[in-house]
Parts: sequence; C-alpha cells; structure tokens
Amino acid sequence: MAVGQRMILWGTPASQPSRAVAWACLIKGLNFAYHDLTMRHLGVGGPVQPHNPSGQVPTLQDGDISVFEMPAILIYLAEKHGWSDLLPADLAARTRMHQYLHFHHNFTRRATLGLMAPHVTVAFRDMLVARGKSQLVAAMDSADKLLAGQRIVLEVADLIEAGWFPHGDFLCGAEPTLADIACYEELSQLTWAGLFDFSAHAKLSRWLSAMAALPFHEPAHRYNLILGDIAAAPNTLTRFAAALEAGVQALADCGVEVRRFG
Amino acid sequence: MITLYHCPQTRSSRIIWLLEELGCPYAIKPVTIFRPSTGAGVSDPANPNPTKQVPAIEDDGRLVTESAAIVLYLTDAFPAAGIGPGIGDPQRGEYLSWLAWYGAELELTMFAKAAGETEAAPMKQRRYETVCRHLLDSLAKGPYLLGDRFSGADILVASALGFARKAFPDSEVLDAYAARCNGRSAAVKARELDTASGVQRA
Repeated sequence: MAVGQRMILWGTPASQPSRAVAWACLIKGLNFAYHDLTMRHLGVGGPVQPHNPSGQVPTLQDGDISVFEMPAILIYLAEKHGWSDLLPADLAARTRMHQYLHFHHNFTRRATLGLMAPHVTVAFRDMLVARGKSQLVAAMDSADKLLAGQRIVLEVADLIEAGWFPHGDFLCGAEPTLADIACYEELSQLTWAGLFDFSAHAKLSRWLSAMAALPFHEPAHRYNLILGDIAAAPNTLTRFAAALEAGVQALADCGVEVRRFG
Repeated sequence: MITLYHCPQTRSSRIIWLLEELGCPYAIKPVTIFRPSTGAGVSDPANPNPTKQVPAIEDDGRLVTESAAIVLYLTDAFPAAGIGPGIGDPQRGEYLSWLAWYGAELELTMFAKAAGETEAAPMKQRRYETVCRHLLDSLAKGPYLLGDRFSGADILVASALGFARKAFPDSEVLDAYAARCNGRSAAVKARELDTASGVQRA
C-alpha cells in the first residue's frame, strides 16, 4: 500500500452493515474513501467483486488487503487502529462482543429481513420480480407483512432485552462496543420507519437513546431520517432515491471522499 | 481449564477438534439439546448458553458461544498452535472474513440447499452458487482457505463438508480438501471423543 493511500469502504446507505462500518469510521476519525454502489451494481460481476466474491457490501479495501462481512471489517479496523473503547480491552467484555457479532447475522438481522426489507423494497417491486426475487416479492405482497414482521422483531427484542445488557446501558457492559453499533443499525431503522415501537422494552429503549447520543449519529443515519415513516406512507422510488442521495451527501459533508457508481 | 458444553454430532463436535489442534487442557461436559430439525431432545438446564444450544465454552468464568466466536477466541488465546493469524498478521483480515463468511453465507446456503429451497428460489440459488464458487476458487489457490496455512476457518468449513457433503457440488477439489482436513490426527481423535462423555484431557 502506498504511503498515505486511503482505504476504501464500498457500501450503500440503505445497507445496515454498510452504515455500521461507516459510522464506526466516522466516530474514530478514520481517513477513508466511500464508494457508493446502487442496487444494480451489487452482486457477482459488479465493481466490488474483485474484493469480495459475492459482490456485496460492505467491503473494505485496505491496500492489498480486502475484508468483507461487517463483523470481520469492524474487528479488523478496531484491531488495526487500536480502538480500545469499541473493542474492549477487558477480555470478558471483548468475548461477549465477539459473541454478539457472530450471533447477530442469524438473529438480529431477521429484523431487517422480516420487517424492514418488505416495506422498503415495495418501491422497486417490478425490478425484483424481473430478477426472480420471489420470496421478497411474496413477503412485500403479503397482507400480513406488518404484523408478521413485527412478530419476528418482538422475538428478537425480547431475547436481546433478556440476554444482553449484563451491567450497564450497552449490550456488553457500561460502554458502547462494535456489537452496539452492529445491533443499532438493525433495530433503530425500524423506529424511523414507523415499523416497530420498542417502548415496551425498557433496556432497549434506554439503549436506543444512549446510542443516538454518540458522535456522528445524524450524518450516519441521514438516509433513515429522509426515508422516514414507510409504514404510514409506502416507500416510493423517488423517496428512496432522495434518502440514498442524502445518506451519501452526509458522508461527503463529513469530509469523506465519495465516489458514486450511479 | 476450558470446559466445552457438548452434544455429540452437533456443531460442538468441531470444537473438540479445535481443542485437540490447540493441545490445551479441556474438559467435555455433555449436555442435551433440543434439535429443531427433528423435534427430538430437550434443553439441558446445565447448559449455560442462554439459547441452550451448543457449542458453548467456559474459560476462567467467561462464557463464549457461537462457533465462529469460539474459534476466534481460542485461536487467539493459544497462538503457539499457529492455527489463527493473530492481530497484525497480514492474513488477519482474510481470517476474520472467512470466520464471518462461514456463519453469514456458507451455513445459510448449505442448509437452504439441503432443504431443497434453492431450486425454486433464484436468489437463493445464485447465493448458493456464489458461495460454492468462492470456496472452489479459494481452494484452487492452495490446500487450505488461507493458502498453505491450516486455520480455525478450515475447521468450520471442513466440518460442514463432513456432515453436509451432499449439499455441495461434486468436486474432486472439495473431496480432497475435506479428506485433507478431516484426516488430521486432531480431527480423527476428536471423532473418537465425540460420542464419549465426561472426557478430560489434562
């Protein structure tokens, strides 16, 4: 890697894992470039595939090193840059954090797949039909999609409420870690989108407020703010495009060099 | 000493393999689990894992669950065994990616394929094909996922091939890889221990 060469984060503001990595980088003041991909650039054959065999985001390009899958990227960055806050030095807290990150993809992410995705993707239903994404189309067409998705999220919320927050306001202890950032991206979006109310979960409610007070919260989530309530008023292509644009512009406003693959 | 909460022929079997590779002292504490796929078995109150699944390990009072987290924890804790690139190692990022990829991609697509869900769902089929291509392309470059270097990531992937080989395409490369990994002495020993209970290696 040439001296001074910036690492590149490939992402899109609509991707929860991409937002998690971008937010962590902003919080820690990393010098990075952001390569913004639209949906049609994702997947095999897309521009990120040389760095990630699935062609998906987030993907980190750090000189000759490519890292993909959100937990791997966050841990890699935290270890490389010595983020002793987000990656706790205390072994017990660190272990719990690792545990969460590997638990996350099969559990907390169901909140996105079960509730958020069917409501966001109604905006481009025709394209998904053409691409043969039959399950997602069936989910978005279901008359029961809100209640069915909320049942999944309730299960997720109940387990996190009961099984995490061992001592303090954050998932692994008294301070936020990478686990909190990963989890927040999945759950917080549901509140902006009007899809789920966490007020019956006291620990999660406190945690959502505490996370919202972290630095760079607004630019890291401007996409969600602009997208707004998609339960009351269904998402549209125009609205989705405006939210994506706002999310990317927010990074540029923070001084991140942005390259768009439009 | 590390305690492994174990149920035979489950995801905890591979943690015995890992512990054998590391050569560290450990004890196996057998527990029963509920198996959603068959409806058999019951959750064991003695299992400290909040989900009552296995694997789970305890080390000096610390509970670790989730296979990939356990692999990372143990390979970091016992660096002398040389089966997990440590912090600062040029292959650390690649190693972390494989561990996360295993849980997020390989396992999900493997079970989807085994359940016959991919044929009728083009998106799942594409994802499955991408997973297989990544695996085969990587193994074309070297005997292990990290090239010449056997690692904890191989234990995850090769153990999956051990119990779900039919979910992957016919391939001499995959067969040779599975045989190479699963033929290691630690893997052989682990299979011998798998169904035993109360085993202790001091």
